[in-house]
Amino acid sequence: MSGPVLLLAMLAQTLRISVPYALAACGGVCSERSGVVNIALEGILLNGAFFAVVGTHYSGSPYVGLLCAGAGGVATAALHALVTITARADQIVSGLAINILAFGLTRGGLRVLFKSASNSPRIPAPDPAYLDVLPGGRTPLGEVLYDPLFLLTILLLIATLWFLFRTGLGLALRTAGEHPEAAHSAGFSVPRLRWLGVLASGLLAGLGGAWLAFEQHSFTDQMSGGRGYIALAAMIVGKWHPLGAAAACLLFGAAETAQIRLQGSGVPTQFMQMLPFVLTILVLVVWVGRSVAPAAVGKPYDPEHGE
Amino acid sequence: MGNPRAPTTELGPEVSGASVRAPDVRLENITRRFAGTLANDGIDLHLRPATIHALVGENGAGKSTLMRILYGLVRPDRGRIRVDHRPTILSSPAQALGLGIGMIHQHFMLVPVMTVLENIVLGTEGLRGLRAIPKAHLAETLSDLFESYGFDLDPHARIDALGVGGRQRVEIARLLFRGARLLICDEPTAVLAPPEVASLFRILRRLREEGRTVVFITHKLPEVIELADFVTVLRRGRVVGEMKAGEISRDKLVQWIMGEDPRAATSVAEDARSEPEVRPHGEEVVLAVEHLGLRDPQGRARLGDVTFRLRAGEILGVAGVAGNGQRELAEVVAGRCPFTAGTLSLGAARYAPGQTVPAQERPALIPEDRTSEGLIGDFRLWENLLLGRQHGAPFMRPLGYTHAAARNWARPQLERFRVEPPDPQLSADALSGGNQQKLLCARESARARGLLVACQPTRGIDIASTRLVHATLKRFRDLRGSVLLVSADLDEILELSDRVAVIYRGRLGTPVPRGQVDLEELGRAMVGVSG
Amino acid sequence: MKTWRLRFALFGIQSLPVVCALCVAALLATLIAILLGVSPGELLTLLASRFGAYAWGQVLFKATFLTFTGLSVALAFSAGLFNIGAEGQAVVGSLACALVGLAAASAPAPVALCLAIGAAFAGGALWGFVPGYLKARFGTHEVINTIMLNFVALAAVNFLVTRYLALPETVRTAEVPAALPRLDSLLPFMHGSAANTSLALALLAVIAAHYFLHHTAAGFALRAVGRGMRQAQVAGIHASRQIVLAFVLSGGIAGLVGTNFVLGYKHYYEDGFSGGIGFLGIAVALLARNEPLAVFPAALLFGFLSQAGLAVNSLLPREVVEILTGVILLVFIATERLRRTWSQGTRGRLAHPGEGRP
Repeated sequence: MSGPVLLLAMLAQTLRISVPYALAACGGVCSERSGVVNIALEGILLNGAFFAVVGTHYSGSPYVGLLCAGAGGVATAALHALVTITARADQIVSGLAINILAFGLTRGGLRVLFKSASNSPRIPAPDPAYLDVLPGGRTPLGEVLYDPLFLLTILLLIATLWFLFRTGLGLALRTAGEHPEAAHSAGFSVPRLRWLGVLASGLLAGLGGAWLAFEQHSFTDQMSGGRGYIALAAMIVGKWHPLGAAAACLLFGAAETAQIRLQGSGVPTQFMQMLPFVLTILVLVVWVGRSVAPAAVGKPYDPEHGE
Repeated sequence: MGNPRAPTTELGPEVSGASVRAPDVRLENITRRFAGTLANDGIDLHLRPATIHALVGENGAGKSTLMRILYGLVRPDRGRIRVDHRPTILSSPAQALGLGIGMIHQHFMLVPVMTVLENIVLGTEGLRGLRAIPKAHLAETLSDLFESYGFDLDPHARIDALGVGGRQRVEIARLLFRGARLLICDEPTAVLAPPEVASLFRILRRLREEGRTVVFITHKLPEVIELADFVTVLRRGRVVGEMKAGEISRDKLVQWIMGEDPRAATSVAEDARSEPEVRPHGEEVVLAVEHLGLRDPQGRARLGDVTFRLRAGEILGVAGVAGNGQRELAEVVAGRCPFTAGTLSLGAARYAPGQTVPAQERPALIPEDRTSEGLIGDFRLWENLLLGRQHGAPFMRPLGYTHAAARNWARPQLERFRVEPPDPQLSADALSGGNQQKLLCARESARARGLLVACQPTRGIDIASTRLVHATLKRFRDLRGSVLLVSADLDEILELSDRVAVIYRGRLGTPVPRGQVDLEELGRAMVGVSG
Repeated sequence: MKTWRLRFALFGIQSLPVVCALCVAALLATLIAILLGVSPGELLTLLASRFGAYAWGQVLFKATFLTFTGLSVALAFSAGLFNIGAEGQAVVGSLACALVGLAAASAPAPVALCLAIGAAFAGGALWGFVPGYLKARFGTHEVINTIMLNFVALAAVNFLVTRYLALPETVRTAEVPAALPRLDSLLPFMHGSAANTSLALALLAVIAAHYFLHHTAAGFALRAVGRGMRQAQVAGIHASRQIVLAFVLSGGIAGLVGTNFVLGYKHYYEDGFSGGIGFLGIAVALLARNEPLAVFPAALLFGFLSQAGLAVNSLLPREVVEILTGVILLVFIATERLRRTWSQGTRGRLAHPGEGRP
């Protein structure tokens, strides 16, 4: 491959890898800005991927799969919201429990629906006809850039940005994460705002799961592979801002692309596998102190609790 | 209910200066219980339109709960509220705001990392949904509002760049912007220096002239006499009495507030009396601070060029408006926080910038916030007493301790400091604020070996506990200990201190012996208008 | 006096979350069974028929793992830290245990055994030190770090084993001569089960941890940091030191998993044995409310659940166990607040028996 072609291919691959990270990280922003830590992103990604496959497999249409992924993500997030907001339980533990649950649910589902413990049958990914018409539609980069889910991702990023920082409701949601008493005192229901944030994170991360499934054209056991946790790190590095988080995800995507490209160059594969995780730890060490979490994130809110 | 104004065409305050009609509000038989205690017990209160109504009483008398009920934050167990003679159920602040009732909380409901504008428009009718916030337009509206009330505020400034007075004006502006006609102010003067109090009072009087009602919670009686048209006294969740302007008498108020049982002297106070009276303080310097400076990690100066000495047997009072560096000063002097310039000498040991004071050399510290810095809420009382002293405790054996020994060690301390109930097995968050403060005082005064740093040691606690804390500090001083007393309460500073210094914007003025303090001068120094 | 009645009520309130969690889990299991066309009666009959002495021995074997990881998580929790890295620490500790066991092959058996046990602790402690140090020195959050370190540990150990240590065609090391006797050598009726005397070590660790936390000054300081970091710091406790200490101890205890797997069961290290014991340790610690003494019963519960899943494998997919674990956790934490509110009220009435209703 010539230089520019290689570069474009790598760019396409970086974008491909970054999409699920970006969706999950952006979901993390919605949830944490409203005051709820969302370790459950990992489980939401996994469930999203699984539901995407189930929906596509039974309907034959990847678009139905996409809807199912969104719904599955929202349902998983609703469980997190119910436990952490309504029952005011510990947010980290709830997230971990949901991850265990999602792991069991998807693997059990594989076994029951597809009679396999490791992977589902092959499913089609969205492949719109307009790719043939558009200029560069069938190049590696074009296939990413014109992908309906990619376009949706960009749209959702912009929508999140606009919602959080331009609208009154977004202002209230951010206040629920910074100073919930202030949001309550201004006449909002903090639990409702937080439900909104968590459900939004479920939708976004669920779609991220769908992307993973469409990339592989199947569901494989534990296919989220820690991406939900890395997305949380990206969110921190991106200072709890949708664009910052997306930029950090591109960084992680680029690192993973480099890793894939280096495979077979003599570096043991295990070191390549470690790379994103080690990178996450290092990046967090460098970034800590520059990035300040929403002040009330992680704290259950009791509306009647006095001063 | 809801706001009749069309939200899309007009966002903003009712034109100031024009007369406003405040609602006539009656609270009837309000009762509310919290975890076994009756915070409000059949309270009746009439808030007449266009008056300033003071609500006084000790902490825990139920003032804040009552007002939180009126603002829809807390639901009463029994009783009802009539607004303009119509029975109303207020189940959320949104409803209260819809009726023109707004509240300024003791702890401001402002988000420090957001701007003045964002904080003010939060929750405005018409800006609660997905509509974009028209920032430019709102900034203009707000500037006009600020101007008409003489507030020196920039709509785009971040809250954390403002002082306490500025934040309070943002709170008031927010209520006006939301069209509040009855404003509840929960202890608005507690955090203000005297000149700021004066300017707050001007604002409140102006609001009354516009036709608004102001409810004003306080426990400073001169303020009541100066400002209020009506005053209602609460004690232990009940109304004890009500008076009109003109008939308000200070003695009567004190009697109502304190009730029949002035539990004055306490065991420590008695101890203090039995000790030899005032020993003259010596020349021995316990603490010397020279050109001390502190910058926070962001590089902002928190303390600058602070120099003073503290001798054995002396209390040095540091007066100032909150947020002027007194908290940092206390932490640095207590060895809890490394400083960035100058020197700190504790006894014979000298410390340079960046050096940390070894744990065993650190002076005792009664921190500003007893719940988040002093006591561990779900630790038992004996555990809280042991905190920080665990390695030298007398009941500690080489192989460890038994809980029975720990309880037996703790009980007499609790009794001596009149902690109620003196049960070492209770957890600290089961105690009232006053008892928590006594517990903290018991621990830190037992630990102090020459120097005790006390931050706001009586903030928000009842009078009996206050007396005990004061007696403890005095007794410590009389036994040739030294106290650095940081307090926002001028009366406390003047009662206890041998010398008084004012801190303003991280700089400490020259300490003045108590006898030579000029009150007016002091007040001006606290807001930086000295000379 | 009605104190005994109040005490009884308090006990009921205290056990509310566990009871709720188990009931919901049982209901859900029944529901799943019915959905998959299995009658609950059939399921129970199968379960009962499969639970002989061997199966109970396997429950003890699994509970030994979970006692170590659960205790590890509980100890870290006591210092206010989430150790989600027990899995990685267990893997590193087990490898260290096997390596030292191999290196000390020529030493007298008791010495070799002690060295191997020490190595298991040290290996886990080392892997626990990393997030502890990162938190104390840089303030990075231990949750993300420990999760990341799990992945790193699994990959690194896999690399070492496959590249250098494994016997040809396998993913396991050579046989370690030092061994802890199996329980069936003492209690013959358990024949075949993998339960071994490392269980005694686990129980010893439980008692030691309890004594350390509740009866020593150092343990007091650790708990103080856990309940109120800021308050402990203001009172002069060196919080970052406690954080590192807690993570080292926590990691070390997780590392002791190696004594169960390497010394007690397989007598070699085999890659990929750990399968989620770290996450289950979190469940154990939570149900035990981070009290060391309650860790063993909680470990037994999850050990039983896991063995039961295997026993009914022919009727229900094994993954039902994970689903139930997740649900037990969720219901447990969701009802915790109720328990706390209610038990506070009851405690208050116990403390002030005189105060009645108005």
